[in-house]
Amino acid sequence: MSSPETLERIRGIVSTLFSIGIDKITPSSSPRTISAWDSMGQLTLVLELEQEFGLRITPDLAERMVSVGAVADMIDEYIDSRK
Amino acid sequence: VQETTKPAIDDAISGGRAAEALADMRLLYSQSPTLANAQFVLSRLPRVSKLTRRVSARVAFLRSFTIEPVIPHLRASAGLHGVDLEIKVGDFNTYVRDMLSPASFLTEFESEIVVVAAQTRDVIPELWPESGSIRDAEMDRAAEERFEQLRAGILEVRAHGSAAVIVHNLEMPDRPAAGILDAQSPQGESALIRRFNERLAALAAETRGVYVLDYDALVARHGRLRWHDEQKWLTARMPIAADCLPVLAEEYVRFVLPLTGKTCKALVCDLDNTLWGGVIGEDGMAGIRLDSEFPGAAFRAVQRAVIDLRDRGIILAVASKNNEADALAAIDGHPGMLLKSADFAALRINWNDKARNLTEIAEELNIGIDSIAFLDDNPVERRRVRVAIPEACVIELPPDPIGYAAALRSCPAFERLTLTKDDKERGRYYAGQRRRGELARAAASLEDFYRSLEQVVEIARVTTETLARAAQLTQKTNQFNLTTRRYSEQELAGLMAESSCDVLCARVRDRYGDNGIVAIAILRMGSDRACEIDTFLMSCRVIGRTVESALIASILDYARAKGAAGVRGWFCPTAKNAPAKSFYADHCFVVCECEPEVKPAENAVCWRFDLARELPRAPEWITLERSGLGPD
Repeated sequence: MSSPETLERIRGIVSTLFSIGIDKITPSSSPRTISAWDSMGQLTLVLELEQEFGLRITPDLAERMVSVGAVADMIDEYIDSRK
Repeated sequence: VQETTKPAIDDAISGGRAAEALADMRLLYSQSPTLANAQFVLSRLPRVSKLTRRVSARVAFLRSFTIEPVIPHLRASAGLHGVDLEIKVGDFNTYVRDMLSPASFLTEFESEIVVVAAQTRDVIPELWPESGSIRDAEMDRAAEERFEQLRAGILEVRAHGSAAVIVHNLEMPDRPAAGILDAQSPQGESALIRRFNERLAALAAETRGVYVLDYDALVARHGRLRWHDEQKWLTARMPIAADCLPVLAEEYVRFVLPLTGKTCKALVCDLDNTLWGGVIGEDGMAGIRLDSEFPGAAFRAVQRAVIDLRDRGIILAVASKNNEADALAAIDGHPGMLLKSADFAALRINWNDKARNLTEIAEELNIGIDSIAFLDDNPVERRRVRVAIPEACVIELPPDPIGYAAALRSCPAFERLTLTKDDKERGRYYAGQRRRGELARAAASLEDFYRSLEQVVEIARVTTETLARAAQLTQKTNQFNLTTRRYSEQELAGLMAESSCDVLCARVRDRYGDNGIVAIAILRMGSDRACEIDTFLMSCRVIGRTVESALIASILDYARAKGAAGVRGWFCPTAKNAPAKSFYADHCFVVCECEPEVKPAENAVCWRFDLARELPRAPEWITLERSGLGPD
């Protein structure tokens, strides 16, 4: 499970990038529920996370980015690995 | 200075503190230029847009790779500079087709700026290491063929409209196929790319409206290995690393600002800890740091950057909280100073609020407050000016003075697409201007002042030598401009070629020197023997010296000699051209009723002068010279 802080940051990023009210974004929000989260949206999100958190998102990792919750989990794993 | 956060910006917007919100948005994006922050800026800008005069432009991207992630950065960055961009991106890797058939996509979109963003591996794959072993002759032929293709495409775009073309040059490979041997070979990848880029630069130099974006230098400046993201290239055809996207966007902004007239004309500098290290009032002449060693060298580097801007035509001024005598003694007496007080067109060395000083400087120099850039090491002063004068360009500086010179040099608001002789000598005009102002105060009457100036006004047709300056004046002059019609060099050249058109310019000399070309008039002879003044403008440099009276007298005389029965002109009011408001009334024109459909603007007023009447005379204190415009 991702930490509440990371989840909040990811919700904020997804809300701003895809122009959706933050209250509408839950851990299960995904490309299926957010129309702007298409393949270009996925690339945008990858670039944003790389710049914001300073990690490299390999194609394997990118495949795991299927929902807001999954993205938060992935970021938390990265943060933990750096501790 | 508190940390800038997005909730604080939203609070400022909802609390009606728009100027604070805009100041913090600028800070937020300069500190952390991420895609989310770019989107945040774009979504909030409309709510603070009333603070500044905004312009807009349509930009088309013809590209060979995935450039979409650059677009939010470009729109946000330009937006924070007051330029709203509408952007259209052509299909993936169809830039050649898009250029060669511009009638379809480019004209439909009415693009004003066309960016050709193609990279070496797409333009000449033969010159990119991954293409495998290729013989020299093939590489050479491929480079030749692809250059001709690009050249034909660029010329085709130029032929089908007036859009400016910005074309990327080609980058060198990170690791040439031949290794170190590449540098030894006149037929190597690097040599051929260099030759290609030289030809592209030559094409841009000889073709109006075509500009090269030095992509190779940009990539090198940030490091080829850091710039490229092979993974994004292979998975999404996007070759650029996330943190380099805002850098590329800013490079586009360097072209967008001069193309839309959103550049700064003047730089106002603080003194203590900005032009020298330390505080003159406390450390004294011997204590301030300004020499060729660290830490004084950092401030010498700032002064050198300021001098380079002066030579680009930027007017310099000082706003500093100091005792004026102390500061002036340091400016003209310290052995480390590269700048002298004579380099500054206005000085505000006092204890007043800096925002007030900046406003006064803009008034004194006769330029808009949105043409002012401000350099100050103190983040509190910077924020004060950002909030009080949202139109001004406040240069963000890093905490360490070693970075000041680079920050100043990379400010996009000082970019110019052409540099005329006038630009290079502007500093001297303005220094002279300060002395003229002193004389005006001393002269007993205004007429004595005019007489003492000994002005000579020389009117001539615009020629290829003066075309760049003439176009620049139509684009930059806001105050004494009757119709505010903006013309590019090619548009003016088009008018010059028309037999019914006269494109005239005036050069003004006085006892303090040559002011250069400071006025433009465009006359159009109609079939009904009416001469229309399409454009009449004058640089603020010579406002208030009766030059305009000499010009209009000369124009009326010229129109009569050419057989016109009357002269007609429009005054189109703008937010800035009040100084020209009473021009026609002052020179005996009368308002005439025109068909509303020919009105150039909603609130435009048409004025007419009947040439059967006695013509107004040029002021006796001005000597008129008309070269090549005699009654033919």
